[in-house]
Amino acid sequence: MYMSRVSELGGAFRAEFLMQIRRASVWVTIGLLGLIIFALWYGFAAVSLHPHFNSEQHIWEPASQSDAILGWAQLLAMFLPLGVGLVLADRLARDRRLHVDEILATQPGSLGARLAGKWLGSTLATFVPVALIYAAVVFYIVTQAPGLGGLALALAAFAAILLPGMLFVAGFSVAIPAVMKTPVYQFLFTGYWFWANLMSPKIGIPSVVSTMLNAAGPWAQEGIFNFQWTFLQLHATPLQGYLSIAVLSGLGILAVAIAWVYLRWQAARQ
Amino acid sequence: MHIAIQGLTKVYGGKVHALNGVTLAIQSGTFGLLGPNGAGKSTLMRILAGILRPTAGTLKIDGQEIRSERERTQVKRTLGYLPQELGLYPDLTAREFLDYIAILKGLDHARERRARIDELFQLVGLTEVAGRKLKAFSGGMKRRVGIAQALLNDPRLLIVDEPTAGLDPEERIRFRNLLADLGGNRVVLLSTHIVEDIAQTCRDLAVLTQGRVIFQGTIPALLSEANGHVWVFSGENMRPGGDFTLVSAVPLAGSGMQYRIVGTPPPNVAAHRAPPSLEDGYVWLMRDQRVAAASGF
Repeated sequence: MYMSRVSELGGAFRAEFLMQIRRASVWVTIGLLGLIIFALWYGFAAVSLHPHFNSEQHIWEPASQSDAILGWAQLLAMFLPLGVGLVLADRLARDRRLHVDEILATQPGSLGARLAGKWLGSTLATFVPVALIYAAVVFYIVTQAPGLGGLALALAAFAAILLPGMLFVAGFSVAIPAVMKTPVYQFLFTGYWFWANLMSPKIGIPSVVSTMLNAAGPWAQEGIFNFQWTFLQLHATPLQGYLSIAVLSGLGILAVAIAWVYLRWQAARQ
Repeated sequence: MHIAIQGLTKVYGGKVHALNGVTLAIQSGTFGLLGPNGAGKSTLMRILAGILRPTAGTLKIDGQEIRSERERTQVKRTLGYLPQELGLYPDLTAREFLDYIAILKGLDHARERRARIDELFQLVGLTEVAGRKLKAFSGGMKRRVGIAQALLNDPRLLIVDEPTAGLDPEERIRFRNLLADLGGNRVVLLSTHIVEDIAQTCRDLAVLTQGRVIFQGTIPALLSEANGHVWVFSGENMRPGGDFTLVSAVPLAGSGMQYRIVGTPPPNVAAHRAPPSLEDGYVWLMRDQRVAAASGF
């Protein structure tokens, strides 16, 4: 039975990965967002990597290759998970829309294995364009400002700053549309993202932006890499940095687990 | 295999009675379930497939009552289901889709799974297009993928709900021939409102209307119910009136029409009795029900 569950998870993972990575809208959404973020990053920071850089012309000057990489990771983490959440939001509802749910409900396979495979497969597929965009600019940075350790730092920054927020967003984006219509979720999620992650405390509206629920990675950035966030001063320790990674990733997994419980309950009521 | 359904009832939202005390006994072979739209056929199919729970009544398969989630999962291991509204993932190829469903059905070994999928593609005539994405498939081709996924685990219970709906005549005949070959030691439950599908593939059938079984038996038994009540006569183009149901009106060469009716022919018409077809039998049964309902029985 255990091997069977693993096979079912693997089968669902493969199918969901293939479907998501073949979706043009995933590449277009992430690509466009990535382009906008790159333009922002380039405007503020990248030109300083160029040999003919004139410091009088730019607002922010990264001091080093590592600052450029971390700045790039920071900007991506601020905005790209929004796109990730939007393109993952319809994965569960799509089964109902396509009427595939009826065939799936008659299979002896485990609902939990299918749901886990759906979450992992579609999320990983969505991470592919994210990783490509990230890697492209990292490659640009290390060619413009050569130095040892750039690639390793880039990998660590991706894992610690970007990935936890995307796992958080992916979990909720797969789970919550089980209980609400996808467009409603997408609308509320967009508002939530800006409120919870990008709204400066100086505005005076209460929010979770200074807590570990901030999925844009400020705690890991400050605590682990000692890189100041744009409008927050958290004075984070390395332990808090690692804790934030665990909290965000764990909450994403918890959201999927709760969706599983809900779907089982719903199926039992049919 | 033997399926015993006793007093099965399904009420939606406390108000809509989709099934009202359905009792049926189904043996191995192809069994037809006939009835108008909204009769409760799909609800019955979904209960048998384990998607819905009945509000009341019992379901037994080979003497074992199916009540708990575990028992329903056991049934699903030997079940093949082709729903009325067939859903497929458009961005997967036919092979990828069948591979996924095969894994969910418990076919864990990749080599055996591939062999089984190849065998089924051969059976349904889709070997050449197995690598094509499902969004490029016609309606008939999708239906064939649907029956292939239902047969992956060589099911002992095969439920097909309106399998030929929306198919062109050629595809419909192909499908019927496929279904006719699948009986044998398994139960093939064919639910449809298309009488010809039942006539060509089933020996036994039940007729469902408004959530109730109004007939269960063989096709000859249903035909004998309509014996003596089917008439054919010719007339002018104006449609005749009377106490009957018009089954067909065929233009004659030259002028006039030939009418086939079930009921009492109009007076002053040279009508002659005709041997009933399954469609006539079905019409007679439904007419009988309407008359009984109108008179309060």
